[in-house]
Amino acid sequence: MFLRFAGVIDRLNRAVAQIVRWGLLANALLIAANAFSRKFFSIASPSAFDLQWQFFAAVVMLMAAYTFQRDEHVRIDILSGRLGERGLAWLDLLGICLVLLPLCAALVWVSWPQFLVSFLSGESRATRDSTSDIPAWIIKGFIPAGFFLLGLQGVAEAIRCVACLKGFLSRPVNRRRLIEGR
Amino acid sequence: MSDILAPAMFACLVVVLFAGFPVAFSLAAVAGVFGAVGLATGDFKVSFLNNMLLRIQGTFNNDNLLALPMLIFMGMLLERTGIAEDLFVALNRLFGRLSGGLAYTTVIVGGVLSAITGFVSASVVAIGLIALPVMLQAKYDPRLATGVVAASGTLAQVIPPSLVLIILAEQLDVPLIEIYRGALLPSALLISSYLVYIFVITQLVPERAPPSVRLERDSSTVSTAIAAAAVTAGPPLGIVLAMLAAIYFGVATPSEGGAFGVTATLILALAKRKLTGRNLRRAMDVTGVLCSGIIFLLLGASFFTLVFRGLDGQVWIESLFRHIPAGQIGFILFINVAIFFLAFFLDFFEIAFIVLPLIAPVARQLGIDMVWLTVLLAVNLQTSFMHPPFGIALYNLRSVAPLSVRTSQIYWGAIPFLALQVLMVGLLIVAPQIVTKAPPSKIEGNTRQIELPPPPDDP
Repeated sequence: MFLRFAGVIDRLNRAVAQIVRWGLLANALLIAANAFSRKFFSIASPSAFDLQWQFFAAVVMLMAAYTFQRDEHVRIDILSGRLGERGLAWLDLLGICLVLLPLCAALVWVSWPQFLVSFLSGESRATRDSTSDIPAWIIKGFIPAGFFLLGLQGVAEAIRCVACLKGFLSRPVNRRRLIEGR
Repeated sequence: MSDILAPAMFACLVVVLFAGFPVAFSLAAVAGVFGAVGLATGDFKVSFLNNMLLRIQGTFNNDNLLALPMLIFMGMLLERTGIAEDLFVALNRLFGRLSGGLAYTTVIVGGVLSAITGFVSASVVAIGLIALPVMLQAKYDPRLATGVVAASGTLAQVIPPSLVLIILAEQLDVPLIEIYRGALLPSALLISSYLVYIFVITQLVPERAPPSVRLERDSSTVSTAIAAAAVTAGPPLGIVLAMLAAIYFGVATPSEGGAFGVTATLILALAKRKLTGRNLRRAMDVTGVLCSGIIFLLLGASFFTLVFRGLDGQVWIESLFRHIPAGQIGFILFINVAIFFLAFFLDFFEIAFIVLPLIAPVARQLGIDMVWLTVLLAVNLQTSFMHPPFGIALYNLRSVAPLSVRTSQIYWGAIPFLALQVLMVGLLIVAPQIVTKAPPSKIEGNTRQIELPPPPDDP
């Protein structure tokens, strides 16, 4: 039951990542087009330039949870590599409860009001030196959204760690399949 | 109170880091706890959480960092679509007749691929998968073959527009373009020293690297081989060199250069009918995950530095460095030795994000040329990554090398290249003008005449 809940979170974050990753391609084409029009036609649209940051922020913030799911956040495993499966599960469980969840909660708590304020007031300056009309709440929304998803993924991983400690499930130790891809 | 808090925070960091939970979150949590303690004891004046939010937003508003996803994406595209492999095969047809030809090809392709991805692990794995089996099949000495792969992979550290240099520039607050200019000559020297070493070895002991293309079987003439190689290898090499030149001469910012590179690579892959939806999705997936990991680490580390400085940690670090004698030279030697050993345990990003912000103000105070320091550190880290038994490049290589290659062979293979790199570090310390003086400092008038960086001379 809990494991099914964890599976739902996994799928949610994977789906988000699969949408957001197209932002990379869009961003590459956008930056190239911006640079091209600026160099050769001297046309520069501030909104188009600001859009670059929006894509960048979206990819980084919204893919963080997926990165955590794949266990691709950098770790120093020189000591923990010797812990064994149960030790690792304990480590992750403690880390998620003591470090990750409070952190996500704090950052959502701080960034959410800022998002609300800029959403309600229709603030239009996404960054300090931007001149475009892209509303600021978009970029400010990525921050709480990203940390919320990350926290959710933390809950999912914590459930799995408990399941592993109770012997229901073997810890998916080798999720690092970055090089081969899926 | 604050004079206890900063050391306590540092000690806490070391414990938490080695516990093995993802570094980005641990850093931020340590910052959060000590920030709260600082607030409670009154050592900390402003609400730092708001500052953190500003840092998050500032990260996405930074043109150098925006280049990271572009460059990683381009490297992944080249690799996933098989363009990198084609490049290797084409150059191999050209050089395969020479003894040691495969090794030269590996160094060149490795240099190109490393320059873009800028990830030691990623490029060692990629080059290992592409080049190592071919070299072993051609009866190369496994020691030479693995050494060449590891050395070319670690070139990712120093060849512009490597993202390692981007991050170093960010952390040490040096204009990126100056670092690129400064790194160009040292990386060219490194590549040529590898090529010369291979040349010397193959002249002395030809059986360690026999020619892979047998002349009697391959009836085509040299000129057709050159033409075929030019058709396949020309476009990707051209894209990379054009991108380098554009960034180097200030025609494009790094992010624009990277974006053009991605676009050109996409077009090339389309033209070669190698761009499938699957390739593209995989490349985007890996890029997104890598970027997210790096930026989160950067954020976590910048929270840490923010609070650490707020607690006067900088004063504490500076007072520690006052115990080191001999001023500049002492500092440089100490830093290099310390980072060399740290790199056995930490990977590049951890060093760049955690250690460098602590030492940068000290270095500035001593009046050290920051561009030179950056390049020196990059080469030094490269050396450390190749050092048996902990070097991360060797570790990565082990994971992709066939089991017939013994780990001891990988270690022994690394040593000659390691020696070359150590020589390079020494040379940089003795002769800083390699970095600071060599490239022309006035480039404004130079943009019309585009000079490509000199190709490494093939013996």
